[in-house]
Amino acid sequence: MSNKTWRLSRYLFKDQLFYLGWSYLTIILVETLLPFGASLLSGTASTFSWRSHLSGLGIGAIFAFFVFIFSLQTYEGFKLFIQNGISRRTYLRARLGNLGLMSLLGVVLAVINDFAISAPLLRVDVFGLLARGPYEMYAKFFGNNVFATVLIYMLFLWIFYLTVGLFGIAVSSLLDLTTKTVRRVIYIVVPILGIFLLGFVASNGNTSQASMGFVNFAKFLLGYRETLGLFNPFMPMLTMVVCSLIFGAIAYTFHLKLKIKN
Amino acid sequence: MSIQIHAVSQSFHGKTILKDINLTIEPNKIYGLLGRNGAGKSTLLNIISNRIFPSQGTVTLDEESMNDNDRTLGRIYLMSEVNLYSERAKLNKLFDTTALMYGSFNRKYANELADKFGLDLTSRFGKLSTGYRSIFKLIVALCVPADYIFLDEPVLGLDANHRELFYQELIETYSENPRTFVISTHLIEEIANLIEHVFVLDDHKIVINGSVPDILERAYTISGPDADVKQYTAGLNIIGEDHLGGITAHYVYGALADDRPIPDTVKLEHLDLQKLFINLTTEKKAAAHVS
Repeated sequence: MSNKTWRLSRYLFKDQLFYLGWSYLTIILVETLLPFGASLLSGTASTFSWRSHLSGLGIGAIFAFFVFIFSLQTYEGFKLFIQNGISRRTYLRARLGNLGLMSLLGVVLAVINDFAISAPLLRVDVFGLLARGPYEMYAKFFGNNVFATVLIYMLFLWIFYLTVGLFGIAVSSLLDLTTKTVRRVIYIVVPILGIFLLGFVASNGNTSQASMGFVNFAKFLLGYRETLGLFNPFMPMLTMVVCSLIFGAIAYTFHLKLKIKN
Repeated sequence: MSIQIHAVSQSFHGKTILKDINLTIEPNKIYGLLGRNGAGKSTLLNIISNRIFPSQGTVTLDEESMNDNDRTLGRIYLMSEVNLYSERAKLNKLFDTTALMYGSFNRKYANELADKFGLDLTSRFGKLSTGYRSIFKLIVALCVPADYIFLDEPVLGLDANHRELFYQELIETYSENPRTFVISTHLIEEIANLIEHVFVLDDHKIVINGSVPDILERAYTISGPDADVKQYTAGLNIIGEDHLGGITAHYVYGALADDRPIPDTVKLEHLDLQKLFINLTTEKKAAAHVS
């Protein structure tokens, strides 16, 4: 990464850090202080559980949402960068550098929140905490090895954030090349198609061949191992890496075609 | 050492915007880019600065492509009519951003200019009026370390005092630190004395490309009694005419007939840039008149 790209990555990182800080402050306010205020007003403050509210902040999930939203800001960034003599390629590199940094930060925040705040508040160990979230099915892959479990969990999260970010960049790069009308059509048609697809899968029942094939493929992507009866976290990680490469290629292709709109 | 625009054409939804544009923009000169509304001036500037892609043709700076090239893009700055800054951003922060991205920025001069124009640098860009947005962008344009500065409608929304202040500052900064300015504007009279070279876009093509003194040297108003004027200008390149009572004025662009005596009743004057522009670009196709 050149000096210039590194400088621009840091610029994006600092900019997003500011908004991330405000987002977390807002979330904490909404999820803890507001309910506490409401309980004060309703006279139920004595039963208000700080432990319950603080342990369920969903710092990791909020971060994924945050990364996705910021990844969608392709055109906003492009305008500023091209105004200041920065090429599309360098802008994309800076975004990728920033995504790497932000994702790492997100992993650190999520892990601190999970194991240093939520776990003690809920009085559970690492496995007990992981069993409460979406990582539940992979929590026991390394048996009782805490170090390996946490390390792979962190790697899993990092790849997940990177994939979400790259998906956002790919989608927004593509949408930014289309006209408003086309974008509106896509916003309407894609959810309808999604609903039809879900309806199709559901209406074919659990026994149809197509449905079984879909379920088996999903199991394969998620890392289900029938022989052991548990899920392998490396398989979804590999799936996400492949998806990231595809999203990265889409982002690269369309980023280089970005242009200023009237 | 120049920007070369080679065979650039642009069309949009089947409509031609620019047709086979060939230009050279040299270092340390002040250019005027003139054209009527919709002539394609902004499109041309956007193509030069790689904000949009031409349908055909190339733009190079010192023989290096302008397409997605940090080295060349970092040497130009386009102040456009379209606002590319975030509405939420504070002006001070935008100066910092410009400095970061261009590598340097004359912050001292920018602060001085903000003082002179009465621009509050703690404001957000989105809170500024049209005039002050132009002022902010002008300040950036004058303080950025670029070799080629393109100004698209630089005085949009500015009052007469601020316009005058801008022209003064432009001359001063150009004298102290010569670089190329290309000014695209409709206020021709105001920049006529500033620019050294002019490009006129009409009918999607460049119809005038030359130094201002040379061009004005070839542009005449020939006025007098109708019959005498017609007799004198017969066969010349008449680009326009006016009539008032029995008095006629013919506007001529190009060489006069040296062997033809000027009647005592006929008055011959040079056209100014604005009048020349109007006559070249009104109704009749200018290209037919330009030699």
